[in-house]
Amino acid sequence: MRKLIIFMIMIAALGFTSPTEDAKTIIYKTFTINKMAGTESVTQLTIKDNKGRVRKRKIAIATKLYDNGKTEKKIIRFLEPADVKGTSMLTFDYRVKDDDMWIYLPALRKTRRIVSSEKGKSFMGSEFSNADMVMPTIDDFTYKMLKASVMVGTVDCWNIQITAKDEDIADEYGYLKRIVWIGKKDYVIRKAKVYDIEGEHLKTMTVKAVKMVDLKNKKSVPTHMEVKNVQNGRSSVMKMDKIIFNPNVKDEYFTVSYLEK
Amino acid sequence: MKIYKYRWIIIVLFIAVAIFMARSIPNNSVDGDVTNYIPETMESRLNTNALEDLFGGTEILLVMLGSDDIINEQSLTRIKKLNREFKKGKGIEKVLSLFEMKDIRGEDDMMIVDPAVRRIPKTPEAVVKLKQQLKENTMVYGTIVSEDFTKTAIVLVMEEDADDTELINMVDSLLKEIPGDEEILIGGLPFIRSKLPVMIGGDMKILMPSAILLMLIMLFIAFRRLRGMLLPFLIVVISIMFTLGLMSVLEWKFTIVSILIPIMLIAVANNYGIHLVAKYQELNTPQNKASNREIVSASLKELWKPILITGLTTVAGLLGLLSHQVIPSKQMGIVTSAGIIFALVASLLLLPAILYIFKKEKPLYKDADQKRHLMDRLLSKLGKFVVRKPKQIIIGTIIITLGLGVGLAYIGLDANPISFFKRSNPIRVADKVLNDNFGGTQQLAVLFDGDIKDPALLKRMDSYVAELEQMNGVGSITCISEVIKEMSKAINEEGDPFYDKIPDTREAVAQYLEMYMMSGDPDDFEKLVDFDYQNAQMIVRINDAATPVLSPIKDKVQSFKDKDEAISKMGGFSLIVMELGQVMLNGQLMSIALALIIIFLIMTFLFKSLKAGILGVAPLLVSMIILFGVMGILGMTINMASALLSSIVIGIGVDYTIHFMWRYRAELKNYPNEYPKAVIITLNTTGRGIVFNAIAVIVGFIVLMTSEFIPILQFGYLIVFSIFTCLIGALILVPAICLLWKPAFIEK
Repeated sequence: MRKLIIFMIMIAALGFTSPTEDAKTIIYKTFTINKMAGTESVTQLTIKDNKGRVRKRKIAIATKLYDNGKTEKKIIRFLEPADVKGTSMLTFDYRVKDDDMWIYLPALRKTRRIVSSEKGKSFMGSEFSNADMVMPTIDDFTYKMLKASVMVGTVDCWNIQITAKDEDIADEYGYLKRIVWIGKKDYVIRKAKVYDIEGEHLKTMTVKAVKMVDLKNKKSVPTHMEVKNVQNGRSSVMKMDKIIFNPNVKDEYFTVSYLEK
Repeated sequence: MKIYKYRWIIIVLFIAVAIFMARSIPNNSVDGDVTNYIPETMESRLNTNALEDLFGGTEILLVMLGSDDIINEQSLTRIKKLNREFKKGKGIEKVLSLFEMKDIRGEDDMMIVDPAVRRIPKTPEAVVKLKQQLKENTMVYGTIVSEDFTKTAIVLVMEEDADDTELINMVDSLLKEIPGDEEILIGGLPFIRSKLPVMIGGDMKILMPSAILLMLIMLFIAFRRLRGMLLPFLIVVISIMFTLGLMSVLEWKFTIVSILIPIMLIAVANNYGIHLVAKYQELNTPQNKASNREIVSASLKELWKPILITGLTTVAGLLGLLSHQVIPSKQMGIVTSAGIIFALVASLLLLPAILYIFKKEKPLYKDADQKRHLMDRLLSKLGKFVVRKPKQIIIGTIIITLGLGVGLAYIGLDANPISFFKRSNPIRVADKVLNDNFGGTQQLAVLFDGDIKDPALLKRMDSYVAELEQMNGVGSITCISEVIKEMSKAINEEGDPFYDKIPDTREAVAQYLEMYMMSGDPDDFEKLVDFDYQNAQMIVRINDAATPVLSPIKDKVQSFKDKDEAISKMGGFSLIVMELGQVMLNGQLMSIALALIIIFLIMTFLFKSLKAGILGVAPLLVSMIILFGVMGILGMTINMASALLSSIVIGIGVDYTIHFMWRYRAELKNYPNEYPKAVIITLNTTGRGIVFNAIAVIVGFIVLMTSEFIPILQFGYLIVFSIFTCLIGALILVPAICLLWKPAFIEK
């Protein structure tokens, strides 16, 4: 009998809580649920300026989760262009404290730890920003469900507005507010509009392709993203040539000594 | 005479034209942007535009906050708020302040990237620590915060099409909305550009009425009759209406030199009328029974020719301004010439037409006799002196001219708009403070073209920075080689061979830059290098933009350019100012030459003798040499206004010689071969007219001495001085030459 009640509650929970999940929880899940035990990928980053001039970067990325998923370690290595080939970056993304980051410059055979207080920084000189890609400190923002169901292409999404609690936070992250469209099935962001500290539309990010990488745990990542900065006319595209799920990425990859190899 | 027949038509016509032209005066606008003073096709402007196309606007407005110690919680909080609001402001591309500038430093094995002020310090210990950090931050110390921590600047980089006045009003109102006790100073070109039109308008509003009032007083003292006062005044008023209206019709904007236009008309346009009125009064004695109409006709008949000639020579001098490439100078030459011609024609047609419609004026009883006697006594003494010592006069003139002419070697050039303002003017005060503490308010830009990541190129760039930094007048220099060096300091330990150096390989350069991208903001150097690293811009801020200081800086950069193919262009406001200066000087020389040639031709043609041409030009030449010599000795410079002096002085000054020669020739016909007598008679009769004419001009120009602008004020002193030398030249030098030389043409 007791088991039955629990079962019924679970049914009820499955049937009813999911659609009415509150915005904050959805966001939390969006930034946590798809974290994979380990991945390896090769990504093309294309940066275009307002005159159509193009900079291309090819990078290899490996990631691995540690501390029960509380820490994500990531190594990025430049493959192209030739003059920066071998330049590498190692980051430890902690959920509770500021990231650790090291950079290795092969031309000088030198590794340097980087300490930065700013989160809103550009990702490798592109229009993507680091703040777009990692989870914000959840209590720095307020969350509001704009629409409980809206289609982006063929995907049913939640439409949520994320607003910085005060101007200092906005300064730190580089934006005042973000409006995101999150796929209900996979918790992958399909579209995002970012508003700068003055509240003016800064850029629009769209996801062109999503791939389920960890089939067993049904974890997906966007593999083709584009961001357009409406203020300076620049745009950037990030496209993964390949990505594999590999929970057994060597731990050695995520060390400063490997960085220098 | 025909004028009598058509008198009403003439009156109506002139008034109608004046009113028609004056209707567009309200459309006049003032251009405070010195850049527009030289043609768009000039090299410095083309280059500056090319640089702006590549790197966007680089113009800056500086807002300075000062107090005993600016690193305190209250002030920093205010700056932070202002910073935030400025970033939202329309027309502002970028804000550079303590909260926006980076602090990239190496510490132990770490590279730390922070805003220059990350947290506002709340304890005395935190203040000390922050100051230490700021001292070590080369990107901030001495450019954003003064070395003694009493001042800090918020630098607003303007968007290319931003409106100066709108921007400044916004800054003003934000400073009020976010109040504080800090002393505020605003500076930079946009500020000057926006304040200049207001000041020009203000100056005109004071100078014009004062000049008119002085002229009315002078006319009344001279003629003691309303008619004598009001008629020349009317000519002045309608010619000002015509000329200023013409400026609008042609859509030419007012500039600082436009202040001279109405003043010049006040000083010169009345001369022709004065002669007529004086003649009328001279003929209108109680004994003369002739009718009003007869007296007017007689006056006109006797005077129209010399009036016409002197008017045309004045116009000839002014047309010398056409040889200027400086746009406002050229425009001024055209409109003032048109204005003088209008006044001249009005004096010869309108003035008699009006005199015809009046009744005969009550004869003026010569209650001014006493004065006339004084003047007569002076003039006859002068005549006797000239007759006795012509040789000494000529030798003396030569000695004085050569002596003062030495000053020519010392004459400087200054086109810097900040020199428009008096030293006590808040704009200039602010400019000085900003220049002394924050790296300079003006700038010069150097464009490099090639593979910017090439270490050889970067090392050359670095050596140029090192050389330029030694130079007087150079403030802060920003360029990509400096960024690379900053990175090398952040990544390498002190003592490491890579520390504070441009690395030797292209890869290392690329990796430094990539590293910066990962840690800093890529926008940070978008003003310094373009997207595909093909062009780089070196921005040399100038903290003393006086032309003599700027000139060697420009020459230095030019010498780099001559031996370095990668340097393709030089531009920037400072360079535009340099070129303006050069163009001004050329215009000055050309216009002197042109005016003297025209005067020479007119005189030669008029008296049908080359000697007359030489005689006409000689006193002008002497006057010019003395003028520029004195300027050199007094340390005055050739500037926007003084570059116009020569043309105006020549145009006006030649009149006195013409008047003298005209009468002297007539007297020699009356008394053949009695040269001394002819000289004495001429000086006693026409001499009086000449002196009076010169006084009238001087009175017109004298108000300029009270101008708010240094070039205008100096122009006032210099023109009064020059008119005086021309007067002396006509009354002493010309007769002396005539006496010694006995030119044949005069006796024909």
